[in-house]
Amino acid sequence: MSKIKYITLLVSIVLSGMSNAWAQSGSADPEFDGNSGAVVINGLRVITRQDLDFGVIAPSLTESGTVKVNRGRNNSSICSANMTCLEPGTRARYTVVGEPYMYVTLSDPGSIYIADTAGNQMLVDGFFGAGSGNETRWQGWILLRNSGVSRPNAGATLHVGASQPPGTYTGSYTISFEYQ
Amino acid sequence: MKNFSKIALVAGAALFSQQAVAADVETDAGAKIIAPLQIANTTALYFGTIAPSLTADDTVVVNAAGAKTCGSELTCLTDDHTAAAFNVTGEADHSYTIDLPTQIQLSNGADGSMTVDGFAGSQETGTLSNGADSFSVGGTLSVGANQATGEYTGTFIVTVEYQ
Repeated sequence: MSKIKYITLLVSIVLSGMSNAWAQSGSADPEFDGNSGAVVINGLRVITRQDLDFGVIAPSLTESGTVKVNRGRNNSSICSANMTCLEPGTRARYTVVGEPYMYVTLSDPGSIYIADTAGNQMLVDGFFGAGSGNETRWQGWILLRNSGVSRPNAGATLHVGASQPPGTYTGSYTISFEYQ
Repeated sequence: MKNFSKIALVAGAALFSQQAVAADVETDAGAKIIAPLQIANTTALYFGTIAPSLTADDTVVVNAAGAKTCGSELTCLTDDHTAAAFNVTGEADHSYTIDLPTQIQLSNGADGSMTVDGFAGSQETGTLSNGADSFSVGGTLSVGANQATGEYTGTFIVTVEYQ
């Protein structure tokens, strides 16, 4: 019984020490104890500031095509020559808040389907590759600058079938953000 | 005791790290597909049967309303001329533009040819009320002096596009 109390006391002391470490996490260059220590950094928080929208599209009767929403520019989409994009798309926009100067890896789902109420589907892929001139700059990670904030964007490519049935197509996808 | 402290600290730090290192965000994606624009030719542009002059060029005009004007140097023998007619279907209440050719050639399949130009539509743009619309197109046929006889045919392309 006496031994159990002793261990409980130790745990209490240790947790108190951790609490101090957490409180000091605002320092960009925390110091380490020679024998033990912990670095606790700000958690990652991500919000979607703008959803991904491919706009209004008139498909070809006979040929499939694509609509690329540009990651680098808002209200910019590239429509295949065989289709008509009546209203431009909008890129997805995110705000990431975390530890300053940390690198964050972004993972997209690869591809998803969006569907209308009748079950007709269209493939969406290339979430971070879409957009002329931006592909070569994208390396799959972002840097949280001194403010601890970054605002990455995602474009994507929509694959439209020949005589794609009219309708409003919706879907969702998950982007994962992780410290490197 | 010291070892115990280290273990507890590491375990605690790992716990916080699990909360800190990753975050997922779900985003909506969407698109609106509208009905493709379709055009069908229901009536051909036809100038009728014409007797040319032996000495002078002249023209026959069929306007978009279907009215014919026969040049004074020509004799238009029949009254079966028609303006070209087109039906357009697509997304309701959307507007479209109409693009007509500048000039085409008709041929009798041998050594004769005539030019059709001055294409004019009953409208330059259209609106798909209830998803459908129609328009007509006329043109001007140039008939040469002593134009070779024969049945002259040709085609022209009309392009419609959503505005």
